[in-house]
Amino acid sequence: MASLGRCVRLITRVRPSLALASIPRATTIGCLHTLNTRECTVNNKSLLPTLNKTCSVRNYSAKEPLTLDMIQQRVLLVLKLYDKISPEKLTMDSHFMQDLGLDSLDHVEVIMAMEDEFGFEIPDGDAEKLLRPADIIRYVADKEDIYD
Amino acid sequence: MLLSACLRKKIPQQTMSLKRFMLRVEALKLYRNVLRQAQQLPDPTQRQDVQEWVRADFETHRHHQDEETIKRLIMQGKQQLEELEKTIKRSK
Repeated sequence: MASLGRCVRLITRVRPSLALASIPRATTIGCLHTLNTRECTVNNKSLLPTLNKTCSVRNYSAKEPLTLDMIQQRVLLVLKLYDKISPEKLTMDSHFMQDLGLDSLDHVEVIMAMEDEFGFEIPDGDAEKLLRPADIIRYVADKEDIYD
Repeated sequence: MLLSACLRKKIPQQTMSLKRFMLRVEALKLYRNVLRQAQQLPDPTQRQDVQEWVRADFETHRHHQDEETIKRLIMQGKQQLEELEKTIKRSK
């Protein structure tokens, strides 16, 4: 990973004309993100009086951007798909046990479904406090650092 | 698979002693761990079977009130969980 970082820094410092030479593709295997190379045109009239040269830029992909709205939709969708919850009774503030009639085993299943949906583990201590959809949404937003 | 689940009422209004509360937490942790192990099974029908099996077992023993019975059942459950883990590891 460090060598990859150095590679990228080297390339950005290289002048665009030199960048036309073959740029070594990343060899680091441990990189989790996919690499995209993007052609960008450089309008550097002082350096390149002739044609517009292009330089390659490396981009790394990341998770899709989450907003509060999206989190809410995903949470409610997962809950609607759960067969023990009737969709008509489901609201943002409906309590799993008191309003929706779930028991604690169902609650464990719901929390595990949320872990699968958002891709991170929820420890037991936090999980037992998440008793409404609104709590879950707030928790996920906290973990993913989303403030809008 | 004999597992226990104590005091899982739909509306938890009864206050429990600390010991009983801890046993409840243990039982729920056990359920969770079994479900996690089941997720590692490659075959979805097997996964479904294990989930239904666990649920049915917990339901059968829902009514127990005696702490010793509950502890014993939780211990048995943990042993069965270990066996499940070993089986999954071996099959990989």
